[in-house]
Amino acid sequence: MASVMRGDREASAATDELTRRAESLERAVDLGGNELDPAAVARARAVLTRIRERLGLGGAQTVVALAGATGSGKSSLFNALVGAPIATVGARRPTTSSPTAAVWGAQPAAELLDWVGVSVRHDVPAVGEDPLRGLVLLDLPDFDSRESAHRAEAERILALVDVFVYVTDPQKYADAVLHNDFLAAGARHSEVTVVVLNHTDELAPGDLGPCLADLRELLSQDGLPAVQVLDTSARTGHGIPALRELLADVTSGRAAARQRLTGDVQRVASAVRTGVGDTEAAVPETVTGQLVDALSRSAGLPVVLDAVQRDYQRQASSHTGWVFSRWVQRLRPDPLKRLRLDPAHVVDESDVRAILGRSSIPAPSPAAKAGLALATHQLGDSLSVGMPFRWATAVQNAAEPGEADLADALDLAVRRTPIRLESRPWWWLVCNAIQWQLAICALAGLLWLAVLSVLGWFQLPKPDVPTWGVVPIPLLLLVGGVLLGLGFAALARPLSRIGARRRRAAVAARLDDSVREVAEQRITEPVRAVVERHRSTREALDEALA
Amino acid sequence: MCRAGVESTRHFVEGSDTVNDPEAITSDLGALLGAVRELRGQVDAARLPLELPLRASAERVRTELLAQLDDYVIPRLEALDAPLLAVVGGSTGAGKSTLVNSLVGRQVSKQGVIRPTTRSPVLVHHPEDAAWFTDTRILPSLRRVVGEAGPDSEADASAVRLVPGTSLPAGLALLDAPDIDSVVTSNRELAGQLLAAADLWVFVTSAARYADAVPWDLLRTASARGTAVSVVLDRVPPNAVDEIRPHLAEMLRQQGLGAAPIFPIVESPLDANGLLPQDQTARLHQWLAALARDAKARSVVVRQTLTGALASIGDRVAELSTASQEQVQATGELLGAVDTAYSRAVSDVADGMSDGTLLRGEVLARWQEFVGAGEFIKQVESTVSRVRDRFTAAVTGKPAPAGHLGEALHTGVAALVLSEGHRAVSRVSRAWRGMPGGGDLLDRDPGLAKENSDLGEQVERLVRDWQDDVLNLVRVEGKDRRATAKLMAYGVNGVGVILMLVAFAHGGTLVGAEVGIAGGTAVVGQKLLEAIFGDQAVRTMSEKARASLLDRVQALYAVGGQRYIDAVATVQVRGDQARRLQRAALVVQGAR
Repeated sequence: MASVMRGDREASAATDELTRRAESLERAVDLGGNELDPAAVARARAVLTRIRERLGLGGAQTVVALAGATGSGKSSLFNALVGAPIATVGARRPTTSSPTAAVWGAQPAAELLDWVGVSVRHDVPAVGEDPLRGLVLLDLPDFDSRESAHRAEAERILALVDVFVYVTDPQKYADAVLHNDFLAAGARHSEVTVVVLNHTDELAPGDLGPCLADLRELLSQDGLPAVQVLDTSARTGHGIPALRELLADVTSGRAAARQRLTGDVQRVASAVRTGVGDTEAAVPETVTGQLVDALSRSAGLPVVLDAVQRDYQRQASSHTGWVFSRWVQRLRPDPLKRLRLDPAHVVDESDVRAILGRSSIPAPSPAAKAGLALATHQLGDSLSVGMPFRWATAVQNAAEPGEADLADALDLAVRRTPIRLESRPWWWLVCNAIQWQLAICALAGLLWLAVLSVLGWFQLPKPDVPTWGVVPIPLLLLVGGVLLGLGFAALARPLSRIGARRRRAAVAARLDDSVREVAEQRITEPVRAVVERHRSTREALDEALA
Repeated sequence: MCRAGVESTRHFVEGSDTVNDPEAITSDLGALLGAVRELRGQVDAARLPLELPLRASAERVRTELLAQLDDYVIPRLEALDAPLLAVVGGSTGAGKSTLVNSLVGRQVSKQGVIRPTTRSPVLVHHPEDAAWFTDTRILPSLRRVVGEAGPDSEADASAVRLVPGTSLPAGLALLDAPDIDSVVTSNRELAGQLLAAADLWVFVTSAARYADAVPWDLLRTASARGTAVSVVLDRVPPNAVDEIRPHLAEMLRQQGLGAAPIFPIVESPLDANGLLPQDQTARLHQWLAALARDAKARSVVVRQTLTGALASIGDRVAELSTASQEQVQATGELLGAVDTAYSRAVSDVADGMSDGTLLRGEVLARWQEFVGAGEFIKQVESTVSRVRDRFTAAVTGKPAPAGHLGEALHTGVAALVLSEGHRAVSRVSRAWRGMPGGGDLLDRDPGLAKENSDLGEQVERLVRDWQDDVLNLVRVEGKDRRATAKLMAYGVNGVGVILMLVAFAHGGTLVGAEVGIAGGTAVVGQKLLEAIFGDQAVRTMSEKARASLLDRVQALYAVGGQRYIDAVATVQVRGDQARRLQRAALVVQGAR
């Protein structure tokens, strides 16, 4: 009873661990998608399916397979454990060509054996409280004879069983097939693997020790230093009770199936893991200057900024320029209108989609285009460093959206950025007022002089003209108004140039933000998504492996 | 007893073809030897440097073929009458060493229960034959160790121990080879090499082993190559001889080795010296002794194995040459990727130069500044303002606007050439990453994935040199005709810049709005130049200017691509390697 309780506890702990690992593996495979090696993913999925199937069959029974080379005595050992000559034993090699099963205990094993695919079954008659109750023992065909079908059958069943008992003998214990193809490949299944050196009766008594020591040495080279090694002789019965006890222990533990499946999960997870890098490049929080620069140039921002600067100067001179020459300015076209960046038609995205309105910023020069391609290319390259090929390609693709797509997004971003002056600077208004006053003065002086000259022409008496010093006031008004107006306009010019530069810088900063946002949305975000996916996949795999 | 041995040797005599003259391997031995030596040279020279799917297997074939030619075929052709070498090979634990010791009558090869037991080969020969084996006539890659092995002597897989023994008559030597199937890889490789050097395989298997897959793979090879084989069925339980022996005989017959004699040895306790009882080994001993004494039977065996080895050369060389072709194809594809990337870079630069887009933005602005236009000129066509601008330029001492325009052009062209150069590098390294063998090359030289550090400088120099070219063009043309006032007005530099500009718009097809912007610029420029030089000359000059830039770009990119071509050259195999190998093999086949 105690052993049943212990079995339940162990089994549930093993199930929890298996479920946790299997879930991690499934998550990793789902996340990794096409960036993982398809062959490894297929194997992982097969293992996940097998786990569901095996857990569905219940854990009360433990399937133990006797596997080994031809002539090592698997069938003799099987018969010795069963206690009856069930399996054929012979000198002709290979002897066993199809697997045989022996079932201990009353619980029916038909479903389980159907799943494993063994049709020859033998129920071992129960003798009292049998410690082997729940054991399903399989005698497999050999895996090293020239009958390749035997090996295929053995491998098929070994993929499904819970415990591996590798039977070997003093002649064959160092064979490459056993060690390289089976033991080393199953290094993850150390807990559920037992190696049995059979035929020990053929060895001289003094030779057994060195022989076993050599076998243990070979096993630790296979990566199985802790595996249990037993020496038996089916002929003399030596070691059979020990093997029986070991099997009873494994069976009552009821954890073997989970442990084996856990080993499978680890094995496929490590296979999938080879297609995932150990680290990811850190995706920078802010978009790099080089990329923003390249995007700006391909979005034609220098052209826009030139227009902004010219627009400012144009508007400034229409406020601060000499009133009498302002008409000339009107003849010049509005630089922002030419680029169709006029705030008069403020657009939102739906408008753009509806009328396909594009700004008229000239298409990027080949140098700008090549520069942008290069910047995204380099970004993709630098962020995919150290990643396996498939992941690197995914990162590079994410870093390089289509040229047209990017151009569209950039154009929209520029159009939605307000670049026209929101309000006129105060000094324009002051200058404007002064200019108008000076103009009025000049006009008043001119008018006054005109009246005086008309009066003089008609020889009418001239009213007294006030003077300032010797200069008559009307002349002063006219000349002063004109000269001061011109002078003021000249003074305002450097100011407006400075203002235009500042304006340019302000708009540049604003456009820079917009471009940065596009870069973030179209380039950094997709790249970060791939990198994050890589990280999650890696972490899930590490959890499955831990 | 004696009769049994003679009968068995007759298996070979009768089983082989009807030519009874043992010397008749070929009509012209010298020619055959020459052909084989030539083939050996070709195989030795063959290189498979790139890590490709067929390489691993082909490299193995190459090593094995080379070893067999050196170890066996060439020495055997040189001395057809040299003693027969019988190699005792087989699975680990089958009892090879015990068998050899028992045949010799004393412990010459270590035997034991630790597998694999034998790690260094032991060659037992008659003292009279010593001269044949002490030099490196056969197995030149193995050192010779003379004398009996002590109990503690080191296992050395790179040496063969020579032990004289008189148990077998002169004319036949026995070689105890390591196993063919244990976990020790060096054993398996050495055993393969030794078996390939054998005139006769004494194949040792056991009752537990005789159906193993690994030995049968080797027996299949032996059957395919016509190697002479005899099989020792060792460690047979006394009551199982009658069951196993016919089974083994049947299996051998199916494999085409029906002529191979089988010598069953019943599992029996070893005597005080660790040897098998005499009665168990007597039949094999007599058979070997009979073979050693009978020169004719011996030469039949030699001829059979030698012919088989020579016949097998064709297929093995074919595999090598297929792998060579794979290498040639892969390097071709790698070079193709380089060519594609750099051709595309050149054509993209050419497109960028001719579609007028280079004239936008900065260049356009500078052009307008240069011709003194601004927006105003488009509104009121006024020469006055141009005069004014030139006047202010003269008064204020500002540099001639041609400098700005030239700079803008320079920057645009340099950026284009530089960017395309970078992209070509990136394209090549990405393409290679996805190609067989390409990743390998990139890993060997990580610098290949990056561009040359001085590419920027080279591009700057290129554009400067090109601008000098264009100025020279203007000077030469200007000398021919009378320097007009306009040439004077704009200066050689100014006209040169206009020529560059026209060159970038010329020949390209401008559509729609582009005619308005870039085309307009160029039309004005062209009119200017035509006024100075005449239209035919302008066309030739702009052609020349364009061609000169493209030539320079092409040369620059060729230097960039050369790095990759050089990298491929380090792994390049001779294009005719496959053909040379096949021809050499054909000559060998023809000389047989």
